[in-house]
Amino acid sequence: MLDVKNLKVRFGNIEVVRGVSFNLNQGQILSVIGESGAGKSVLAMSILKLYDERTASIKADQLKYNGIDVLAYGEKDFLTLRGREIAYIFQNPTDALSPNKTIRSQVKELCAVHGLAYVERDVIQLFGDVGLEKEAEIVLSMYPKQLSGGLAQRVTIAMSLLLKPKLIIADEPTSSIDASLTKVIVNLLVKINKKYGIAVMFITHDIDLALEISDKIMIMYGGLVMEYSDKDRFIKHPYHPYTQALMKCVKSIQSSESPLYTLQGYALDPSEFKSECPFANRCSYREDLCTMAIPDLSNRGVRCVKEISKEAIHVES
Amino acid sequence: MSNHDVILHVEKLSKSFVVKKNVLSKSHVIKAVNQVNLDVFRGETLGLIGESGSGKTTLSHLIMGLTSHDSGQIKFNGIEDELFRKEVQIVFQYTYGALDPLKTVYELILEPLKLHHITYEGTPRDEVKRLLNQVGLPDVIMNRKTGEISGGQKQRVGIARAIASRPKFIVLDEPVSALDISVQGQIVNLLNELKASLGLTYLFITHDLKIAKHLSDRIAVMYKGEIVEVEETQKIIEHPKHPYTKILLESL
Repeated sequence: MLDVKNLKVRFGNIEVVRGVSFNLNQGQILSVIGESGAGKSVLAMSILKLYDERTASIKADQLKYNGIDVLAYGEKDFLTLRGREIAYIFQNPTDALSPNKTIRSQVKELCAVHGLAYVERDVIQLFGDVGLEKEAEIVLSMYPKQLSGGLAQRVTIAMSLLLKPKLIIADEPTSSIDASLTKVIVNLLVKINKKYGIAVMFITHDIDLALEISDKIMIMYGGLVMEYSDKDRFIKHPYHPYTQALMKCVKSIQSSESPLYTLQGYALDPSEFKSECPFANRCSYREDLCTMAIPDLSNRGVRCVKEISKEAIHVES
Repeated sequence: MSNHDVILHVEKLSKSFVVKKNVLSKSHVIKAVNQVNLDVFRGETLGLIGESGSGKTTLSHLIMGLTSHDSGQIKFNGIEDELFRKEVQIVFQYTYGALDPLKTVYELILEPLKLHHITYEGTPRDEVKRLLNQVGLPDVIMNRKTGEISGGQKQRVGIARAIASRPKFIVLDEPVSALDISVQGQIVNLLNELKASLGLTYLFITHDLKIAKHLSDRIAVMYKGEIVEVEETQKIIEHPKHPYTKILLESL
């Protein structure tokens, strides 16, 4: 469905996404995990060319959606893709809504832009899909600022369903709303995925949540894919030292040990990227080879000069 | 806590806000903090847990003197006095809002030293260096602007600023929830180390029970403006009493 090969995104002189390849099949959930600066949001937004071409240069060997070469698309062609085929759920739902119009008039506008008739009954049914069956009519007549973050995010998800997309890209959809609602929103996405067979590309830094819901996992660091595999393989053996360290952090926070396990140092800023493994400065398995060149992604989807399977930690699911 | 040496005493504290849903509707009164009683013991970390809208942030602002209360009492070291600011500091969730991106780290840490007329040995640079080292940052970072450093480093600068005025009590308002998971542990460990070495007391505000567990000696659960349960951390996790606490634990 979505087939990306060697995608690179550059802002001025700084390359933020440095050659990312992956594919996503119909009905699948792919989680892209990474910390700030890893390039995961840039990757997601580049797929729909949500950047101004004057500031961002997006290049790839291949960027295909259902066999169509998206790279050759002009601005006009994207109108048929964005929203209609691929919906995008933003971090902050209020950014995605116009502040001075009621939700109803925004839904009507959305219908008009895409040449659909506004049928309130259908809209209310979609609001039911996001758990707002009772509140739908009240919510429709409200303004975005009257909605809590969680409510607003459900509204944007319901609105995205209106155009019957085949793929939803959810870019940290829960990071700007109350943490107690994280699971509610994510479960909604899973429910929608099951009910309508819509594929989901879920961008997150929450590795636990990703493991719960995904078919495939992609770990990004320093603008590169460090590890990419099926969830099952991933749960059995996270091979990359970075992935292992990340899992240890998660486990440590869940445990009651003190002090907590920590990963020393900080992730590199894109301006500091060099032609070497970006994790080398924090890696406990570092050797000379790590800083000589960027390692390739191996056949089993690990970007490391030595795949340290022996030391792979066992992860219970 | 064996010896109940109370550093902060809050009694029947209330704060309401009047809100209008829109221009035509009637105004409503929201009791953000409703008759709250709370004691924080010297040397402990009290975790204050609640979801957004529970009133935990309003309560912390009342304690900090950032908002005035409608009724009730706040006593610090047994005295009702609004001039205790120097001894009470706060560390914020969003460092990019709390730290001026155009100032250097040196300037930012110097600010509280000047503001509170803190005396120290050596030059201002020596003192800033000492504070930076205390929060685990290298000296060289002094000349960088906060726009040029990472989220975890910014939070360390925020902590250095908070401890600069030699406070006794620090309010930690979600200090790690905006940070990446690989950095959260570093900051939690640092906060625990500083508490021990400087003899601090923390009021730690969060929605995240996982993190609260690592920092708190006791946990107070806030729900709809009221504190519904206060108990030692281990006890509250094993035997929650209030239904809302039980829901919180299930979501772990």
